[in-house]
Amino acid sequence: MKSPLTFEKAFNELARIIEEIDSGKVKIDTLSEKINKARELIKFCQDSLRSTEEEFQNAMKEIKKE
Amino acid sequence: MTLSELISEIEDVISENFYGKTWWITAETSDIKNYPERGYCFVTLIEKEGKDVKAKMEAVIWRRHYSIISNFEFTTGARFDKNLTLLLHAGVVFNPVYGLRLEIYEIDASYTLGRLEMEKQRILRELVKNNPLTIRMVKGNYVTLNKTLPKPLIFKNIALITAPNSDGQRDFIHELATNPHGYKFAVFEFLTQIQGRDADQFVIRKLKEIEVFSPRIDAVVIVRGGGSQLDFSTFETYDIGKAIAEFKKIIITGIGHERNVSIADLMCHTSVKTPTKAASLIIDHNHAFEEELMDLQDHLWDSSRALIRNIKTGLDDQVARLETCTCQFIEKQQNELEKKAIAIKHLDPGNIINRGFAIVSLNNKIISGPELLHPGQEISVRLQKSTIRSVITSIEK
Repeated sequence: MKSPLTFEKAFNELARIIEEIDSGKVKIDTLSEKINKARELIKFCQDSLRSTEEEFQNAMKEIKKE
Repeated sequence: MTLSELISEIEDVISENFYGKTWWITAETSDIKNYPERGYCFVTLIEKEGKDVKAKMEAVIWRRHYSIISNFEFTTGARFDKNLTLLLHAGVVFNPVYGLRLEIYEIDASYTLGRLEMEKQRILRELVKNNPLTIRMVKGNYVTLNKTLPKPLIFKNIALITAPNSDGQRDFIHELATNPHGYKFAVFEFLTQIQGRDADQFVIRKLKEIEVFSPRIDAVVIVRGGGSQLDFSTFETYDIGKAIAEFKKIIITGIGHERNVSIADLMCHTSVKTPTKAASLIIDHNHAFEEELMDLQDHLWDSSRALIRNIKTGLDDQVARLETCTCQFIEKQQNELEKKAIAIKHLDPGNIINRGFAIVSLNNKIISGPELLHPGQEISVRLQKSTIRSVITSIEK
């Protein structure tokens, strides 16, 4: 099973895509796909900055279980 | 003679010799009974020689001089407690019921500050000497394991060590919660006493709890703030210095004293003066990351546009090349054709005749050599505008 996307993974993936586009090695056929992926990753990172509430609640539940 | 008469005589002797006189003396505090609500404080002063007590005397700070305690604590950052070496301005007083005492009028905080600083330097030297792998002195700065931990991309999960219901706790949480960017944080509170005797051990215990609490903690923040009592000693011990220096999660302190930097501050990853500043540091870090993210987004668009531009330019070049090649090819073919046309034109018999040549034929067959000809035969000689019939008289070879 694919592991869930973490902030670090998202950022590293984004950096990799940008580097790939920078190098000029991206084929025109896949450019649009890469840009869309990069946009998704940027959005994921921005959302992560602003939505830890759920994670916080989950962590609190874990503590209460203990 | 009664007891009171004897004491009265003693009092006379003391008054005669000590009344109105004051002295600056150095002494160590061995016990303190402080009554802030009543405004006085009893202090047991001692002088040691090695481990032995050489002299001991009770002293008191009455209400009229009581503010010297808070002034002392404010200046030194140390709690007015036992085991402090003080330079005191005092006089001798005698009371028939309570006996002989020193009354303290002033405390020279700078003297104690110097002693505390010397003690602090001694502890720092010990920390470096005993923990060479985790605490080093590099170019005048302390480099600890904690200080060298890399910052996470963003701070999200924060463990907060502070005193319950303290201003520090409120300030820190309020600042995080009201950040202008709308960032959300998960703050896990580890509340404990952070002032007073053995408070360093309480803080260390909380650090140990955090260690096993969750691997997802991004930073530990230790703050205190507010209140008039500025006890700094919790953060000046060897144990707290070592625990912070060797802790494997980033520690940010916001315990600052206006003029002082504690051992905890020197050993931790980042130290700021106040709980609010500790929160700002975290918010700013996340904001810097988001700005970097936006720069990357701009860069992504620029790079993509540049890539498309390059591909388009490449395509245009190819089209231009194709056009050029086609033109050149056609031109070449035309040239060839023209050359051939000229050649063909040159071969046209009419043109040959026009240039002064003649076509000789025998029986309507063009003759190119004399082989088939014999004297007496009739041949036709075709010129530009006429044909001459002639008879061969002789053939010269």
